[in-house]
Amino acid sequence: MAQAPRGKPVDVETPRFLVRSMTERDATGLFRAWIGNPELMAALNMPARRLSPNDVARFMASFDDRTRYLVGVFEKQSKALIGLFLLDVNLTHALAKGSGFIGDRNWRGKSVFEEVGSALFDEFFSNRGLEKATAQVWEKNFAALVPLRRLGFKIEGYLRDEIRAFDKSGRRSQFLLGLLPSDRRSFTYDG
Amino acid sequence: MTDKTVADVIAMINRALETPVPDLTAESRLLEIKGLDSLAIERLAAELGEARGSDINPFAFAQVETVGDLARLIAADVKDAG
Repeated sequence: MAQAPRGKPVDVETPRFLVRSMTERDATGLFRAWIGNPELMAALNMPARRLSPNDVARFMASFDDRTRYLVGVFEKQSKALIGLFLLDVNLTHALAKGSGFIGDRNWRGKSVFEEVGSALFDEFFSNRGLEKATAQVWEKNFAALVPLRRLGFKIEGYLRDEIRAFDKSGRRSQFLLGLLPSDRRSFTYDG
Repeated sequence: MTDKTVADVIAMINRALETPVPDLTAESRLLEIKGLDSLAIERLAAELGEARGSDINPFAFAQVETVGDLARLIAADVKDAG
């Protein structure tokens, strides 16, 4: 069976950021350091891995901008990569499972998640046929829960001991959150 | 829940914020408090945990809507502990 063609890359703009699909050119040393960081990758529910330059092409090719998206958040002025969002889309059910992190500590606590998430879900709900988004968050990750609730996500479930902790400290329970178009709350960055 | 519990929670929120908000009340919605970003929430959760002597209940905390809800959560915990 022929492989489905790649989809249209994400390319949206917010007041402070450019939000676009990652390419091989974006796979700098910083990006590879993030991919190798277990704590950051835990936010994406993915294992950390060391990517050689050759691995990068394969890794990036696994995101087809149709069913899997790896989206970078770039600060507008400097064009510096400050964070990543990952979306897995089930096309049959028009359902996306999203995750993400702000890797640049200088940008934490500055409502990046709300600003970027709002624009990203606008794009997916309005232009890419998405009908529902979900996210799974460690129960004690209040820093992620609050921005998600600000975007309109509602808690739909509690998953007991759902995943292994990245630091091998045992298992972690997660909240399952869901976002329907009618739940959405607009977010406006006002400085 | 007493007025003092609400006042204590408001004081904790303002300590967690970089710029305190002067007009918070029991009816103020947590998600609408300006400056209550991810780092401020982490600071608030840590202070609530310290004040109580144990971690706050994530399930209850995740569903809090207002400052008053948060005060009720703490009041209930204190009552349970007593």
